[in-house]
Amino acid sequence: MESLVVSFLALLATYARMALGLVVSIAVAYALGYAMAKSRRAEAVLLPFLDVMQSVPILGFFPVALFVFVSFFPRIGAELAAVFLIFTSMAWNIIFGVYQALKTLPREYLEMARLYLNERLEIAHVVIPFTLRSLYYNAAISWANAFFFITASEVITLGTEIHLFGIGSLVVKAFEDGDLATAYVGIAVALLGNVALYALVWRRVLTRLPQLPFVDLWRVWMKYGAYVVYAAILLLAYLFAEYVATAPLSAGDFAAAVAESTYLSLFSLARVLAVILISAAVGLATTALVVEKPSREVAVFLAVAVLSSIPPVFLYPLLAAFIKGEILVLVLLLPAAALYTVINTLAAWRDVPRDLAKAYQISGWLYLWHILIPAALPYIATGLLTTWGGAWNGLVVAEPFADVSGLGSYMAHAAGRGDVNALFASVAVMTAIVVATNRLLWRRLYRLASQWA
Amino acid sequence: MEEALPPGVAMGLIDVVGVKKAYGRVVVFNGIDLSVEQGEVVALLGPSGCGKSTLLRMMAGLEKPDAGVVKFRGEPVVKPRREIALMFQSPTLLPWKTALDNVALPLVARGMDWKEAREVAQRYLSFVGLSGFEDAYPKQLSGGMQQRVALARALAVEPEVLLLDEPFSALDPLTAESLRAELVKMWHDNLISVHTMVLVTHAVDEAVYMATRAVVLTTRPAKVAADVRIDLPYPRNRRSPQFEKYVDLLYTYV
Repeated sequence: MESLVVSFLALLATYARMALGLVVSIAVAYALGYAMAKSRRAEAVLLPFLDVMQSVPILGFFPVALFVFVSFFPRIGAELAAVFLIFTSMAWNIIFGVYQALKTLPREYLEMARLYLNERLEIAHVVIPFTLRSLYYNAAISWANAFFFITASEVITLGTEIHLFGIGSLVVKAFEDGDLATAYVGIAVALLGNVALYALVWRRVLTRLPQLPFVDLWRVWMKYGAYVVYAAILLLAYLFAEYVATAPLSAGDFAAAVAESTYLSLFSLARVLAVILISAAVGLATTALVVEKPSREVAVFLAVAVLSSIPPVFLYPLLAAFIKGEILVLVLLLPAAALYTVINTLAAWRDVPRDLAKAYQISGWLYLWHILIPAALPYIATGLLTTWGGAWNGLVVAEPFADVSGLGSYMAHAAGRGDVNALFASVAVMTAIVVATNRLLWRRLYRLASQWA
Repeated sequence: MEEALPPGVAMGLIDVVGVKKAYGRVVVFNGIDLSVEQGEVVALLGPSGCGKSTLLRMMAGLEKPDAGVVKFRGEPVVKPRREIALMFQSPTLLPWKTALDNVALPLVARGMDWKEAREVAQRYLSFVGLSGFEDAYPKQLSGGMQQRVALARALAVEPEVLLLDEPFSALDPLTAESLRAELVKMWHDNLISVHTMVLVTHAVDEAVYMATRAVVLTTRPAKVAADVRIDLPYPRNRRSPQFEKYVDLLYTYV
């Protein structure tokens, strides 16, 4: 009974931090999205920066979280650090979503607004409403992604460990103490909580797309917020540089760690590729489900979001008795990877010709190969682009549980030991892999596929 | 019956004087002059891509000439003006607002409160034949009805000049014809604040049906190829021999 109450409170604490992280993410998204849509210079600087940032795994932000927030704000630093880490697992796709919505706002609507409206009404009734669909869908995805990484934002380890009160740390601690009853209660409460949250709150938000509250405040924020965000980025960068100057970094250790990270990334690469293939198949299957009956779209989206919010620490105890090693790591990784592919592929259903297949009774193989896959390909390519980063970052929480060697577990152990050389090296290697492959491979594939989209 | 107007001599309501405009290397205008008098309905005709719409958008204040000037009552048009409304080819209604609020929103932008704006909007919706559809969302309306809402929106701000950028080209022929007839009647019978219209079209018979004057532009860089006064009583009859004579005459220039 007691553990039930404690779990419930812990879940509320977790949700409160996530809500705060989400509000900050949305604020940053409108400030930067609007700045990028308005100014080519801002676009030229911010797009590559954000691209790199979204590829940095959550553990890569630990030093910032600990040495900036915790050491500069001793009292509430740990809480701030957790919100910051949640932000880093939420913000990027929301920023890109808002930016793209603003960028693709039809010109004639802007002209209509210039002719008939003033700036205040333009932003409140034209600009913001055009971004809402993208905003809320991305927010719902980010919420799931942040929950997947919940243990990483509530148990911050870098030599020393900081435990914050929340559902992620509660379950981890219960397992460490061997208190299985509490752990299972915590997992059950969290899963039920997520189902309830998506069924009650997110479903409503996604079907109604409510206007942002305090719209006048957002208008002012969109115009000037970017400067606040730039200042915050510069401040964080400066404080982080202060830390790096005092950190026990050594070129030799770093180079050795880069070499080892690169070697280990080969094992991780195989896992990432396997999990991406699986999620592409899952994506196609769900798309077919929705093509058959479009009213299922929101329900399928919500189901995928709930399933992909399950962090490895929740799945692991349920699965470890049956599967081990490579299979286990794939299953633990699947939520993080499947999320982006499935949700991107899902959006393809509108482009899948439905009546054609029905009128000519095309089904089975023929349907899959000549209609469904080609129609969904541009979306699958977008999905792969985001999944690629998501899966690599997911490794850092999935691999350690399955106790397999790879870049993810190497990074997690480096963080655990407080070995900053190994941590920085592995983060750099992972970020480089993600960014380089995005540029060299996925974007080309995407361009190829979008020729007939 | 054909009468060449000396360009840019007298000061009209809208004066286009020596306007140049290029998009990159594509020169759309290399010095064009055109004058629109108060009370006219001017149809701009010409091959597609010749810059008819660009000219219209400069009159609306949505685009600036690279050189030269567009004037309204002698004042350069540098941004959209209250006296001039524009109707787009597509209705450009906000999907999340009802028909009523789509019409009311520009009135709110001009300082009315929502209650008053909705009352005015209601009047204009019924004026274009849409009473009973105030609470419908654009998606629930047909293309013709959506364009009627857009017309109500343009009229509700009570402009003096209405610019029309192929506003009927996306509609089915019957709907287009009835909207054309209604608009001409509203203008001719002084039922609306609009006294002057400029219409971009590529349909010669639409020009002869609606306009008091047809201006034919050449291909890029566009010049005025012909400027024809259409001297026919309203409402015009497409079957009359004079009507056909004007159509034939304009076809020789297009």
